[in-house]
Amino acid sequence: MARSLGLTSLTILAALEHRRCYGLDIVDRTGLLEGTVYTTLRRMEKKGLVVGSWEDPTIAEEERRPRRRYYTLLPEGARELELGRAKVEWITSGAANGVAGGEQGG
Amino acid sequence: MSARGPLWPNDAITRVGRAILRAAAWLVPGGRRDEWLGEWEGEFWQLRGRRAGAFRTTLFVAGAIWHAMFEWKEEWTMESMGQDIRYACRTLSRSPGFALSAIVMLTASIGASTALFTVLEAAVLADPPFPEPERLVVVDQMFGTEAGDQWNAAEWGYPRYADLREDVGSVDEAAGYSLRTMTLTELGDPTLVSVETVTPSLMPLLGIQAVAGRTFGAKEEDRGAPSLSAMVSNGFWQTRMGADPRAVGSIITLDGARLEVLGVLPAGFRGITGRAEVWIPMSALRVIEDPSFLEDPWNLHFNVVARLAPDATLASLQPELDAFASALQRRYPPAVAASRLSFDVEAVSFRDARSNPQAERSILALFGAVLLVLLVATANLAGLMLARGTNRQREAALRSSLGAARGRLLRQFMTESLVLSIVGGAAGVVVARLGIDLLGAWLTGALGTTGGRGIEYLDPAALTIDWSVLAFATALTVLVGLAFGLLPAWQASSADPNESLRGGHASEGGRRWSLGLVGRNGLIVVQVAVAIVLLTGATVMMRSMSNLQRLDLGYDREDLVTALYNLPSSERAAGADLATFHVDFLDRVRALPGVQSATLGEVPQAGPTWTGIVLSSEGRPELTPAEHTWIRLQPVADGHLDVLGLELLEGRDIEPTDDQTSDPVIVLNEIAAAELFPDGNAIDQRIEVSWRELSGEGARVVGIFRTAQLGPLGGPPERQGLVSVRQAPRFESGLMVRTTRPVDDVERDIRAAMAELSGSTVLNSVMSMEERVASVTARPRVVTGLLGFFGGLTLFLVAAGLYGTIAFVVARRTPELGLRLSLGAEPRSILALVMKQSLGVTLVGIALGGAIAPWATHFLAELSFDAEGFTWTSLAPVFLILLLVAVAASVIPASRALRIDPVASLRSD
Repeated sequence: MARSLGLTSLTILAALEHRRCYGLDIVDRTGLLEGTVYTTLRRMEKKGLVVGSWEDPTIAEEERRPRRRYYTLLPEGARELELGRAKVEWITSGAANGVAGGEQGG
Repeated sequence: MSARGPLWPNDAITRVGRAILRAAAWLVPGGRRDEWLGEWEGEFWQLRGRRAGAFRTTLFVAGAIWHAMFEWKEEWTMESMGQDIRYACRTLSRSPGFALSAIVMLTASIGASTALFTVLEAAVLADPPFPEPERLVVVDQMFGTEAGDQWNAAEWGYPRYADLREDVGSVDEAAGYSLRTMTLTELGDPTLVSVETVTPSLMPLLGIQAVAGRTFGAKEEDRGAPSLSAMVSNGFWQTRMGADPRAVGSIITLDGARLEVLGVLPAGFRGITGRAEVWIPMSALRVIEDPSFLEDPWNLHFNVVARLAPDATLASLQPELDAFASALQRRYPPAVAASRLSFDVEAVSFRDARSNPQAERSILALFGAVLLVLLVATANLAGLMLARGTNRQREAALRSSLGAARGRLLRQFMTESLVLSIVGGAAGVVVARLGIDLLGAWLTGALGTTGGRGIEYLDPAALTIDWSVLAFATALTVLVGLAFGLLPAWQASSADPNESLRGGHASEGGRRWSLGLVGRNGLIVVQVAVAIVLLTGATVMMRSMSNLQRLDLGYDREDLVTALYNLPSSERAAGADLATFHVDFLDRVRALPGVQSATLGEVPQAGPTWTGIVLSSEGRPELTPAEHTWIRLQPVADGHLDVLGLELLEGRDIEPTDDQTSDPVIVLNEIAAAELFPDGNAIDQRIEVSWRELSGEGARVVGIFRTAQLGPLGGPPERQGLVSVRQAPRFESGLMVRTTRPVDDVERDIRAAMAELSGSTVLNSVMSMEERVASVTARPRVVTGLLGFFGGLTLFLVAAGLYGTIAFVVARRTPELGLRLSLGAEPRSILALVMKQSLGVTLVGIALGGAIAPWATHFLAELSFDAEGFTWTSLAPVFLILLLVAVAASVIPASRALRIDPVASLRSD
């Protein structure tokens, strides 16, 4: 990756880490706005970090509601999330100023 | 909706929210739209389930719109646009003939439109080049006879002007100006220069500052101590003074007066009249002309321009001016002759005062015509694109069956037309620029650059392609590109993939009213209608012009050389006897070799013009002041009627013996005689006119001549009176010489004759009478010529469009026609079938054009010298021409239908 992901993207990836979510779910868990969440999701979908898939129509029919579209983390997205975490750690640990030892994140 | 469909809450917020989502979905590119809407509806259902408040819902909907816009933007990436453009270029390069003819058509029509818009902007739309031009007004004094034939005296006397500045509160500042021609000596050969005599308030009022030295100030305002000073234009300083850095403080000599140069004005500024090279303070006239010049309220010799107070308007100013006019009447009781005049002071905006309605109308007419040509070119291109589009339906169908969204295809085809129009538009701007450089001066000269009050309002050098012109050209380019691309793109992308891939092109013959066919026919109708309008306009103008060529002006304008001259004030101050001066000059001219005869007076179409008021007539003893009427007078030499070829009806011409020692005489034209002497027998009766020499006893009528068009062409005939130059001379005069010698040749001799008599009097505008009439008729000739050219161009485009369409239809219907032929149809009936279509379309176009043409020619009638204007007979030849063109354009492709080999045509498909 030429450019590491921004905080917004990382936040969304983190929200998807252990479970698949639909849009409003992500909004609730991250506190970001719909416009931000969806445009970011779309970009990450294009890059192959996440994938969206429609739920089984029978479930929606059971519950008398429109179908939801769930987003799942892809392996590439998980890798990006790891790299992001390392970077955040590096920033917060003060390693950049040589205060504490530690490996330089990507 | 099925029974097991989503259960939506039944409330207003939900309904509105879903409607907004559905509307926003249109922003999303077609391929993604359904998915997008489905996902957001799912989210919205969740949100409603939580009973979220209005604020939360609004935020949600805004997020959805934002996302839709994001999706829309994603589709229009540079990458995909680049793809479209590359693809369009490749496609176009495969049919270079089409691409080239499209670009040429677009370049020519967008170029011409842009060039004319530049002229329109400079002449009609642009504000006067002074700060806050909307506050500038021209204030006029209006004198009129009580009979109501009011005319505009316009000129002011200094005391009246001073009162205006003092008394009228809505006027912030006022300035006086007048333009005169003065003789410049001691800077090379004597030459005439245009001089504005101004009050010092003019430059501050116009916001003009000197670039070197200073403008006039309080010292130059002082009437007690006249200032012999001047300011010069940048052009004057550069060409006549060699850009001398010591120009300020140096001396120039005008009409013999030595004036100190106080300042040089900015480049491009030519005074309020747009023509001045030198400015002198009005107070200098006390020395140059007449010591009492500025004291006499009846010495009316300049115009007044004013700047309104910030809160004042023209409407609020007028009541003040009415009161001011009454005050002036009381303050300066008029002399006896003028007492029967009505008096008014009126203000008009400077913008209106300087406008030239005839020139503006000409420019608007040409601009309209050129836009019509552009419309025809656009329709023509749309027709060509439609034909191509039909052939490309297979391509579109193939791509769409391979998964291309319809919007994407539409965009692809639109890109092609936009590429064409942008290339054409860019080339058009270059063409416009070249055209303005080459033809701008000629065009503006012919259309007229002089507005009201002789203000030169359009400087051809100032015609430039500025930002507003570029914006216009850009808008036009995009509009044209969209216009000729949309219909064909729609057609091509809406093709049913199955049918197109399977069937080839049998469909068109079967479905008679396909979108393509209706579109193509509609386009031809538009082109024919526009051609009718343009050609009718050109015909009306042409007929008016040919009437003018044959027009009997009432005098003989062949072999007549004319010139104007004006006795400079230095000569006047020297007390030269005016009558002797004029007669001496005329005698010298008459003695020149090759001169058959010569006279003095008003040169038709050129001036100078003089008027007087008829105060009494022996033919109408009951003539009351309310019936006083004005008459155009001119001091002429003996034998005047003979020289001009005017027809003497009764009595005699002016003779050499009509001099200061004899009784004043006058020769009237027929209308004046009929009006002033309703009973006939005018000869030897007397009339009294408001000229000093002709008042009191009055002048004796000695002759009557046939009314001729001596005033402006196209205007109504006027009352005219000839008086003897020996009895009532004026400072200015015109010279008319009957000779077969070339103008240049005789001009040299005439100038020499004047130089012998007076070193400082310069002959102005030496020209043959034919040239003068031609220059007056230049505007309608240019409008006629260009309209004719545009009409011809349109006719050509119509022919090409019809030809293309018919050829296309025949090619399309070959199998069907072949079948008919093989079933025994007469070849003639096949021809009729094809011709019926082309003539039908043409006739609809003619009907439409015929309905619009009267309205369009009504607009042109004002420009012609022909009161007749629009008539149905003027339309008949145009109809005929178009029908002939339609027949010619369709007969060639139609005859191809006759040569169809039924067997081959059926096999081919």
